Amino acid sequence: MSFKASGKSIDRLAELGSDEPIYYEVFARRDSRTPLTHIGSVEAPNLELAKARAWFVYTERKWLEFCIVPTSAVISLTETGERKKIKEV
Amino acid sequence: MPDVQSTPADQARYDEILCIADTKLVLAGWHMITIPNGRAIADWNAICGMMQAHYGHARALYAYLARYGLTRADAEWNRSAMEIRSADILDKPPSSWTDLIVSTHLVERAVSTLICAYQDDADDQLARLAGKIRAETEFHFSYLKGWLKVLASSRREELERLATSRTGAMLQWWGPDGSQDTPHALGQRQLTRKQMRSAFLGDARADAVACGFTLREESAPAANWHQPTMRVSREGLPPRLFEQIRFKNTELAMP
Repeated sequence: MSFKASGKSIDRLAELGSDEPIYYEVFARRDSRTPLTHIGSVEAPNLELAKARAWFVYTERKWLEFCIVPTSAVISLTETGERKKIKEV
Repeated sequence: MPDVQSTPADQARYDEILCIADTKLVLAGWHMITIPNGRAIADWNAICGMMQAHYGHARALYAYLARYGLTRADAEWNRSAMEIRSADILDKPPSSWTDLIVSTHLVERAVSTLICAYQDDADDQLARLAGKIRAETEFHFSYLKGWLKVLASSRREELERLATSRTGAMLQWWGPDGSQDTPHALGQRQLTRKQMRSAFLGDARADAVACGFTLREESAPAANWHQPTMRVSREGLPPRLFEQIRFKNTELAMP
């Protein structure tokens, strides 16, 4: 898939690493008294880039616990079939 | 080395740590210049993060060298292009996004290998600094290997060609076989330069395999290798590179 903006043709596979966006959800815990909380998400074509992008974007503070989960691994129990929409883009 | 009373061992350590600091300074300069070449804002963000880390490490290493007489003015402002001891590989600017990723990965691997040799040093300050630098570059490798994987699937031919030529350039940093290894000979570093060169090449090859491409070693002639600067070129930094990485106005930079 590619699209053109301001004269620049963007080849998603070459420029971004994947044909379609792949998302990872980012979770963190500040200290042992606070729960693991969803703090955002990153787009990356593979796990290595996802880890680095999450690190560079979300470590403005020091976390006790910090982890990412592929959005595709999230199983919705309330919305299924055509209604299933885990990721709002 | 600045005019302070020193032993040959002090001199050897000073030279080697300054080579690491200067290589980080110039690599950070590369990042500063190439940020807009990132493929997405996420890349700009990551490149900024790596740049910030390298500037921070360079500054900390220069501060460490103050004990050997290096002043902040000399470290940051007063040295000429001839006196900057960055790795030769950084003299040639990246020709493409692929080249930037390949070169950055090799420089990070080499510098990490050398600084890690000081992780168990008897000097606590240097040992802690080395450990902190190693830990802070962990996500640099994650980022670079992520892109190497992407490039191995989309631009494999270009990737392998550049990886081969840039590996040859990076190997020059370690000097030719049989060259002097004063820091090791004087007990400043346990690992020999030959062992570190081999470890660097092993890690770089392992990364290549994990990312899906082949790294071919291209031996580079390095007969003119100069141990104190770890450089082959005696002409100093290319003028254009020096102009881009140096402070533009000494008066403005001075406190």
